[in-house]
Amino acid sequence: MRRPRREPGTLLFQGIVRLQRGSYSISRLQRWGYLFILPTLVFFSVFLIYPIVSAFQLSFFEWNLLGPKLFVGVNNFVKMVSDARAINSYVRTLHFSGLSVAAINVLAFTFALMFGSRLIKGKNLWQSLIFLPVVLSIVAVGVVWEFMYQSTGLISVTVRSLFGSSPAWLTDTRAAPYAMIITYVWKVVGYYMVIYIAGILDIPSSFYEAARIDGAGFWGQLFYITIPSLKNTIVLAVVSSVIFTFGQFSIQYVITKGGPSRSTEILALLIYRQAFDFGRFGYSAAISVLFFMTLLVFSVIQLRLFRSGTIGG
Amino acid sequence: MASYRTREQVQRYILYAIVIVLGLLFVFPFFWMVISSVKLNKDVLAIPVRFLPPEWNWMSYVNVFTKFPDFNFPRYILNSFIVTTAAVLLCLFFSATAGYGFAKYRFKGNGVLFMIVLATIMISFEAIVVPLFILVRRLGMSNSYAGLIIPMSLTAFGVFLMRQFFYALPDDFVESARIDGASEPMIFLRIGVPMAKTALLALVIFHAQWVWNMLLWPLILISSPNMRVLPQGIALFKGGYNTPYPEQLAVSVIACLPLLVLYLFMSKSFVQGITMTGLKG
Amino acid sequence: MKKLLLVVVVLALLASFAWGGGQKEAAKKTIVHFHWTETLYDPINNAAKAKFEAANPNVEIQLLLLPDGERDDKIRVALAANGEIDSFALNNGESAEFLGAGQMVPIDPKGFGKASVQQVVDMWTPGAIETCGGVWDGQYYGIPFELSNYVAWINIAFMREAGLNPATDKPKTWDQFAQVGQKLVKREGGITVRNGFMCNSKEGIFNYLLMIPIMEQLGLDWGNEKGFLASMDKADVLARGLRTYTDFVVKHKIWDPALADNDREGFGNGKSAMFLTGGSWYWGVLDTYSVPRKDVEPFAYPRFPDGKDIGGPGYGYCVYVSRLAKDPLLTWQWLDTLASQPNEFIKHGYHQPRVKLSDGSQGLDPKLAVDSIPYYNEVFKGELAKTAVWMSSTKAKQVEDGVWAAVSRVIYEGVSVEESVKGLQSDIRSALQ
Repeated sequence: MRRPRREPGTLLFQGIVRLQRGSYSISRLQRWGYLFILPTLVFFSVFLIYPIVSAFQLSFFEWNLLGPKLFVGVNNFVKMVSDARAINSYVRTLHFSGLSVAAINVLAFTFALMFGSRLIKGKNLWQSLIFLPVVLSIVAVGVVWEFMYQSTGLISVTVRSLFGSSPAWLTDTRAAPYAMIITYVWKVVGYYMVIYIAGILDIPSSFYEAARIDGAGFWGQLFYITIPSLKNTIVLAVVSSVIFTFGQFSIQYVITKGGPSRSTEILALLIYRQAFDFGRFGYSAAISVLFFMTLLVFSVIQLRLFRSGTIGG
Repeated sequence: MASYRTREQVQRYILYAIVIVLGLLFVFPFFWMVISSVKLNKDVLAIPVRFLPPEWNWMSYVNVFTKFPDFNFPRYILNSFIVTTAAVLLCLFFSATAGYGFAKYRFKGNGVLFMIVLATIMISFEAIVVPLFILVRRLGMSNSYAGLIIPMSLTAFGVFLMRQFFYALPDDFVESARIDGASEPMIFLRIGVPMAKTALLALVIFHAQWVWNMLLWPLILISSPNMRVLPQGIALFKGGYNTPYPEQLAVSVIACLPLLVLYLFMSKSFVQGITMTGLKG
Repeated sequence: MKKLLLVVVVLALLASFAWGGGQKEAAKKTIVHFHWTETLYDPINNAAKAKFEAANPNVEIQLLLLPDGERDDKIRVALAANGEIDSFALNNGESAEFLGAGQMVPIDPKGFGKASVQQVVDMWTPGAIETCGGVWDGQYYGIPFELSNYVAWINIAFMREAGLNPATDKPKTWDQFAQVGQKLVKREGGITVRNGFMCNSKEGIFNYLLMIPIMEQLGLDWGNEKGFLASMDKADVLARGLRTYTDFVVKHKIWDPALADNDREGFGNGKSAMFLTGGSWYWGVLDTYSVPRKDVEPFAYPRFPDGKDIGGPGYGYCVYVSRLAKDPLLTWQWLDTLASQPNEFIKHGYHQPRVKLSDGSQGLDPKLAVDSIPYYNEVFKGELAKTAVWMSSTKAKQVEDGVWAAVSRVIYEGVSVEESVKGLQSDIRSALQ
């Protein structure tokens, strides 16, 4: 069941009003549109877009911050394409991001549904527990989880007692990426749960009333009311989670530093490392450009695929 | 009737079981953090893993404030409060206005301009931190609250969030208000904003926790110890040769309390909303 | 509600403008110094600050005590943006990059009340400034703040437990090191609960520092860029050195990286019977852990029976005056004061190689050194004389990264030593050429 469309009569009425006021009203509204986005555009241009353009410009140079900038043209990009380390990073990032985004969205949506059920008392408490990891400082999270992942740490001990043996979470190149995913999902799922809850709250209860009257059970309501109504929210959550999982590296930085043997060295970490560890700010900027292009392509695809809103994405 | 009730009971027990296990899983690392903050340094790292401290070290919390005269934690907390409050309020302003503008008005370049705004989160902050620092220095804002607040009040995510939620605002309301002669700002303030209240609350929580826990920007911008914010204070504990874990964890516990309180405060409205519109079993 | 919000906003913005920045009192000169934080040493550094401010009432020192990992980043960014940075501390692995880019000013003897640079240099033990990275292109730029060398450490309580005699059974060669490690490693239920030996399994720098003496004992020259590059032609020597180290994990199984990541913490808490990255300062740090001093003994780095007589890696820190210093002469005076408390530091085992202070009085008291540092004469002093110095280079981090990658490939990915050496060769060649 879809949301009710505007009645034809209203459209007609509006059309008449517009005709009477003439084309002036359209451009007046347009002006208001620009006005509303103006403060944001101004501040973003100065404090974000200008530095970003600066950073992109840097990709055509070699610079270690302290000496003069050396123009190298597209050299950095050529190097990057054949750089096994950069390719490894890119693949690791896709892996990390892909799995995290899936886990986060499925779990967050499920949690949001669970806390909507009237069968559970004390929703506030449970919600807060899931949101709790979000507010913790990343340093503390890193310290705690690192201890838990060590061979004598709680996670390893528990897994061993349940399944007989436990992977070496932080020193096995196959297990480490999953350890990072688990910790990251734990830390941020509350955030996305809040987004989904906010979305669910906006669904008028009349929809559910109507559905129940029509005889729809839990699953019916879920698939015909909840999910379609959450389209805008789902777009927000998925697009944001892709962008954020790509860009975050604090978990890896604090717990494994990209190890063991670069198995958790994701792109954002490599960007940081090339700049601040190796002093190759130009090369780092080139990798940032690649990173940016990837996200841009993903986002445009996602936003077009799921055209959001009433006016059209 | 009876079978429906028992089915509901079973569903309830299953749900409760899942919720309890989940809750424990989620909160356990936090418990560990809190309990370790009152252990002695050597016990934090001891094996076999001991949950309860063999020796209680309540002094760690006191030490945080007294043993490190250089780490002026009350001042850091105050700085964090000021910066976070101002950055969140500014962020609400930017995000609500821009989100409303993008969602509710058809104007040329709407799509393109939104993509440009969104693109600003597609680049990792580390990549722009140096040019941003040079710019802020040129504007004379280093080591100042303004230098901390303004860059940290800008988030494309906020604009994105508000845009999606303003889409849900029926155009009819807006149109009829217009016909009634209301001006655009009035419509925004009196109709748009109240209807997007849940999104705004969510944004408050999100942005507050982002700014509060933000380390990299203050780290680069602030060299004056008076202007440090709390995450910098926590990071200071990692000495080259020795890390006093109990104190570091104690500070981390203290650091997350204000955000927790904020969340509990805000989420009350969430929960009320849920009980009114939530799914029926 | 809205009115309240408005009030809060106005207040917050007003407060921010009122407070502005760090309070700048018009008459005072400020010196901003970038240093690192260490709970044991911070009070001593703060005492130096207080002393200088008392002697110079119109000067305010901003002593920035930063986490060690971020110190060089902050210094670099501050210099690049022409920020406020008058002086800073760098170790000898980091300094070359900054010296090569002209970021510091040469020593000014007037800042120490001396007539010539040589008189200043003579206030420190001979060769100290070089080892600590303060020399560039024949000129002196930095004054030493720390000169340390790693020695080997062993837990003698564990030795006795395993039936070994601490007086005679401490390992002298790398083979013996592995054998002793095997006797001291402890396993329970199939997992290692105590390493025979461990190094930091997360940070490449420590593993790189341990590889330096091993390679130098085998005759390679890892003390400068030219030698390092030339050593890449000796694949079998590289393989022997790499194998000696990685076999601790792979073959002898005395080191399980999954047990703990930090070797200083691990050793101090009984998770390892031996470790190789501790200097004399470790005595002070050990006191914060659970293993008592009496259970611990330092000893000389193992050698190869057919190798050179070279001890553990040496390194140092220098403090420098930046090119952006507002008053270089005053800043040198400040650094002089900062680096004039060797006897305070030595109590924690932290070694500052200062022989004489600027007023002619004695610097480091040798007797105090011996009293504060157990085994100072027996182990530390001798090893320091034979130390393998950490290379100072603008490509230091890339070299370190290449070596760590070579080690990681073997211990984490199971790659063969020969294969890994090939990777090392290509990494180092592309970095240093």
